[in-house]
Amino acid sequence: MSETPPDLTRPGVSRRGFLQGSSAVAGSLGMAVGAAEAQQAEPSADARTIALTVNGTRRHVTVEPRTTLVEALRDTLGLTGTKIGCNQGQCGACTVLMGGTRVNSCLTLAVMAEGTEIVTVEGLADPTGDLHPMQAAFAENDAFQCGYCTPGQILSAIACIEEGHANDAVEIREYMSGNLCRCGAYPNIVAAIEQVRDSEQG
Amino acid sequence: MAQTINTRVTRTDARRKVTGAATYAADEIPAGMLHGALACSSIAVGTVTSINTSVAEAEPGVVAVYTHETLPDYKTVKGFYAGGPGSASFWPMEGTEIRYAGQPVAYVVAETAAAARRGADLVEVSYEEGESRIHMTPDDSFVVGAGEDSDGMILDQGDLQAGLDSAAQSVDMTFTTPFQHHNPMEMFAATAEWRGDRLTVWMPSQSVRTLRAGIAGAYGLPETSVRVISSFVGGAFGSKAGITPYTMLTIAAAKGVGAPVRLIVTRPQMYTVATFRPESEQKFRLGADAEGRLTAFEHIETAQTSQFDMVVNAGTHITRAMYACPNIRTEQRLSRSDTNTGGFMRAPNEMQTFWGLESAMDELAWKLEMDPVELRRVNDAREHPTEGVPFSSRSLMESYDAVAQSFGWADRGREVGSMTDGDWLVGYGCATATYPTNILASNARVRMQASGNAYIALAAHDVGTGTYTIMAQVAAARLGVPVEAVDVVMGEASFPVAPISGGSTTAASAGSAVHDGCMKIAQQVATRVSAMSEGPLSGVDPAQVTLDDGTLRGPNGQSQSLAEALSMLPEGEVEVIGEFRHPALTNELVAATFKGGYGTAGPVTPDFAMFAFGAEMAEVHIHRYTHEIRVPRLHGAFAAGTWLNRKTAHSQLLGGMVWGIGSALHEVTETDSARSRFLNANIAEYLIPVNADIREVRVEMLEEQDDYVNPLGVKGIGELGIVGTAAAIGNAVYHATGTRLTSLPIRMSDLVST
Repeated sequence: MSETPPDLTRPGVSRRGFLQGSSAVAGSLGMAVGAAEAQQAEPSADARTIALTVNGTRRHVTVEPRTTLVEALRDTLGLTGTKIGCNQGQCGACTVLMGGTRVNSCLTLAVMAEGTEIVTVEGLADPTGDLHPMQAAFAENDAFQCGYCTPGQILSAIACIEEGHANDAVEIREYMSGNLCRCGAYPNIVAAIEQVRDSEQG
Repeated sequence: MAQTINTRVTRTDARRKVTGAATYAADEIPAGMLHGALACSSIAVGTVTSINTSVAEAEPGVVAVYTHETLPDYKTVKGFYAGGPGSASFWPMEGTEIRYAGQPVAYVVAETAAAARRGADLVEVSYEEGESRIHMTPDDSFVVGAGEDSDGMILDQGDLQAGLDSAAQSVDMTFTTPFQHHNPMEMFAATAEWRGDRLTVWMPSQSVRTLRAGIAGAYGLPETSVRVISSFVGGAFGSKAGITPYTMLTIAAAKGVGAPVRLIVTRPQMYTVATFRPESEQKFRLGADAEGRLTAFEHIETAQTSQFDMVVNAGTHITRAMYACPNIRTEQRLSRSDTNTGGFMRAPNEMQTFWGLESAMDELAWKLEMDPVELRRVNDAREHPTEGVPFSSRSLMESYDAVAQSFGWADRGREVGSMTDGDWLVGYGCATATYPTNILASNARVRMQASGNAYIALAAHDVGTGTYTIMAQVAAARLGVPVEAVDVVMGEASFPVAPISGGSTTAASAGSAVHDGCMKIAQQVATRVSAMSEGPLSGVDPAQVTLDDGTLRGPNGQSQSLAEALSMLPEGEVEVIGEFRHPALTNELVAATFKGGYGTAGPVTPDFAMFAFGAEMAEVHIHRYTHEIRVPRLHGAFAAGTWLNRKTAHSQLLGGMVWGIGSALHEVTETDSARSRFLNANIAEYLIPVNADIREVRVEMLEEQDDYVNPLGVKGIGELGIVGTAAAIGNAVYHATGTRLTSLPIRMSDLVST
């Protein structure tokens, strides 16, 4: 992708990212939503089966146009590692990587994810069970307490480094501010990201 | 064995939490599960005149739409403040009455979450709206149980007026704190599955046994027919303590449709279907002699409560424990308004009251021209000022001295506005933190095998506090095995009795039960191997055998590792129930806990007053022109007895201080007074600190020994860190600007005149 990925880290900006990301499917989406309203009496008349590539595996799911990516992941595919913290794009708990870009999966319709590569928290550790360096750094730095925002934080943190937005603590704090942590583990989250960044550079 | 207590141990559940394998309530998806959604009232007070469910019922995927007229077999429980397990005394959907905005009026069950939400949107409700008022009015307030039954709600000791008259300096100030909502990251959720008369409920809970006892009681089922599971809790902070309507509605709906139903309460609905921190007013009158010694201390707290419950979070009982003073008067008042019932939110007695007390103490220090740290020092109480018992331990000034050194308090400019950094006004402020050491009875099942593996089960919870880890550490330390060899299961009501995860009680109470279990294992093993004809401890008096880091030691130097001794038993293992019964726990209190309630002793016992202490210092920067407020540094030093795990304890204190910054600068549930609604009911407009708001937060953990509180010497720390933070920040704002703030949160607009 040549263009800069949309900045999905801040409230407000995330909606713009959502709209930009959805422009490719806007035509069919608009039609589908209209159809849903027109055909209320017919259950799941506009449900369709799509192929999602999640953590490297291609899987078929039947979704309605209104089905969000997070609900397809959790309720249909059983990948409950991705959490719902607000269901309105405010908290970042549902962050997944879509085509390498961090997105709020509650603001992403499942149909928008067709043909993209989705990475969830379940896809980070390698098949032998070794943790991704970011997972290990979160554990070591106690970068969470309750752990509910953690899958989203970890995926966001990986993207934060990938985007080149982890140059110093100030920048990390800014670019990780789309992921809320009510337990207040922020300083430990920043420490974990700095540790991974430094080990990658070293 | 490596030391396992007072060290930095990585959470035993860390791997599960970073891989997504930790299962929170809404992650359990029983076969055939349907989805629930709530429709909630748009008015605050009035009557439902009609509900049209036909449009919702016609929505594709909708299975059922229940109202107060159609929800089958819906049960409720008594509210907490009426002695029951419920979050409130008034239950929605029992009739047509509406008593607060956002009250559930219909429950939709559908095949998908999206269909359920759409169905809820399509429920058409008509109301007859009555008069309502969302804010309390201190002029219309009352004292709970005034008179002989006041339980200290009014306390008058010495002669307050004489103390004020004789004071060299005095302050008379009124502070306010707003409605706040817990907003744990995990949304409220409940999944109910009936199989005949057997019910399973998955729900994030701070007290699974309360849930089970309440649900079983409501349905007239034996407790063995009800499973309540809460393996992981995505933050609670007091919001997941009682039985709330969404749980009982989901249980009834699941029964109605004959299938498991999961409800995930929406973030906006979380503001009205459960509890919150009530708004409050804090009035202080303090007097001091020329040396700063307090001559008069008066605190009147008025807190908001609902029309149907009396939420008494007695903050005056905490403030009056802080400083030595011969003339003390406190009064605990309530004022009613039209909301759901509030409840406990992290430091429910302390956050609001210490905003007032510690701001007033700061003002007094300025009037006395005294260093505010020194004002605390001359008034540091060695015994409880109104209870006449000594503190079991009290490291308040040690905390101040430690934080002053790390923070550089000595560099503070002596005058208001004397410090700047370019266009930024700089201020330093300090405040006291405290939290009572509450005690509850607890049991724990502890099993050790000759292999060196140990198993622990108890109905405690890990709400993010590190409970899984510290229970394993306590057992590992006593049994002499690695932490990884200890398997801990919790969060299920059928496990041995453990207290509510509230009031910062779990580490001290449940941890002490695990400790006791380990000691009992040692006793049993010693008794059996000493009776054997061979072996290192053969013939030893078992009463004289001690347990030292997993080694049994006889009186004359005999010793054998516990694992070796276990291998001599035919079973190869021993299993016991450890118990914690502090001498201050009366039979009535133990019975209350074992019945699913909260039998709390402390912080004052006949012998001691038990509190953890700390001190916080904040640096604020206020932009000279924009009045933007930043907290570049917040330091805290705390002493709370034994630190079980320096890594997780550090996170608890750090998280508390981050909450304190939120309380000081961000958090307020805004209201629509005309319609008595909470206005910013979402997690973007209800501001909580984001990563960019938090800069340097430093936590110092002091050593302190307290042999009275419990066998581990542990005081609770889940709430300590938030107490005083807002005042430290407010006091720093005064130092920077000369503006004394009395209302939370502090906003740029408060500083426009500076």
